[in-house]
Amino acid sequence: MGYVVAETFPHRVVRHIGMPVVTAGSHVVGAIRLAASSFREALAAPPSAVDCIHAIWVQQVRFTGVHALTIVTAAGIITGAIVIIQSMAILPQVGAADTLGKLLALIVIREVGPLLVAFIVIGRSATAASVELGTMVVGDEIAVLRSLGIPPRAYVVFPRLAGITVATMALLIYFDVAAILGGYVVSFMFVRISPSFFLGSVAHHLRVVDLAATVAKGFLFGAIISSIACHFGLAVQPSPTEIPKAALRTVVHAILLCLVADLLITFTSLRL
Amino acid sequence: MEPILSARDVRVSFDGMMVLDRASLTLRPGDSLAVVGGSNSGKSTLVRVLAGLIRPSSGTVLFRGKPVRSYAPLAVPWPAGIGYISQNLGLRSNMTVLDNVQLPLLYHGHVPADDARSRAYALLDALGVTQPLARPAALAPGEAELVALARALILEPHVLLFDNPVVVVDVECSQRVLSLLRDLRSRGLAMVSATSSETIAGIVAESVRLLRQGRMEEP
Repeated sequence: MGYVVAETFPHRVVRHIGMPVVTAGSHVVGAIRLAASSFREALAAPPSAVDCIHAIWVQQVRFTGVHALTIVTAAGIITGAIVIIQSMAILPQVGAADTLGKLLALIVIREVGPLLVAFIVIGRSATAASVELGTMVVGDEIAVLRSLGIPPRAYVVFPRLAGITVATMALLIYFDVAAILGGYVVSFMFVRISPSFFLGSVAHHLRVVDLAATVAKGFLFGAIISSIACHFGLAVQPSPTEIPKAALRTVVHAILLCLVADLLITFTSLRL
Repeated sequence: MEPILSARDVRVSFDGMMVLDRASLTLRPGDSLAVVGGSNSGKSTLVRVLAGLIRPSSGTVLFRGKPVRSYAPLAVPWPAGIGYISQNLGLRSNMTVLDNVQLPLLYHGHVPADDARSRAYALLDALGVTQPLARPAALAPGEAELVALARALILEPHVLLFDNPVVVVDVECSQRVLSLLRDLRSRGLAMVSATSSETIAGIVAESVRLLRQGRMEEP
């Protein structure tokens, strides 16, 4: 004789929150494994394969980095300008000049910049990468590559991981430069401060550990975004209707993981 | 003559559903076999198992006496063991026809780049592909299939697995393709074609096996 146990509120909470966390965790583990195995297989690739892999890496850097320069530059200038305008709205006009550089360093370069760049890369490149890989699965390109002795993780995944990661770091530098430029233009328009004073103020409030944290964020966000995109792209079931779902899962997981990584890096860097 | 490719009691099941049930076949150099079956009969799965792309649930697939799955992707010999043409062709859409065909040679570095290019051009020419610098999307379906055939043959395989060879009944291409395949078979190429058409089976193969709901039958 069996007993039916009524589901209590804690059980329901665990089921509704626990299962998605476990599922997300399994995808994270899958993405880490994929990144590790692609790195291992790329290292084991024959010397002749370097040119083939390099060609895809160049394409990926061009798409993720070069083609996104316009939007990243515009976003940087506008963000820098917005932060300065908002700051001046709440700061007293007298004595505000020194604070503007500090705010730009604190808010944009340390925090907003890496996240905005990550979101742009997720929107443009991660979705494109997961859709492309999903299409390759559905169209049998991956199977055919394997039949030709070309390991897809070395030839398809690795150059995308490396390309998106390098491009994200480069875009972050562009974004910061653009944000400083945008912030300075607005500052000059309102309080007429000199470029040297403004840049000096920004530099003064940026510690080495902040710059290291920014670079670490660029690297980590790039690695997270690319490995998640490739993981979901390759996990597509052989049906065209699965491809948009892979793109959606890529966006959701990549955004969430970038936010968690940002939190961890910021917390760690502030304690140093 | 020793078998070059053999499958014995191969079973494949997906999510508890039996797709292939105790499929067995033996192929010797120069043999040509057509596996004929309707939709969902398991013929594409059989071809993928023979290519080492799907691991069977049970049973063995041997290429020259060695399990096919032991053919690690990183250690492909040349001339290659098994050439595979997928039903979807699997051509890389962002590469030209020429790059698609010469990619395996360039990746593995079997021959210098100039040699790879001239071999690819020669093979495409022999098959009558007239647009080597076009993207696959710009080609007619028949011509795209020829490109996939050229890519599978560029590594000079001992066994060719052809899933749904429609091109052999193409008015424009069939004679060139069949002539090339006849020539290759006379030099020892063994071939397995999976098709739902008995007409195609009769054109490409000397022997035919029927596949019904995953079970192989004698015709």
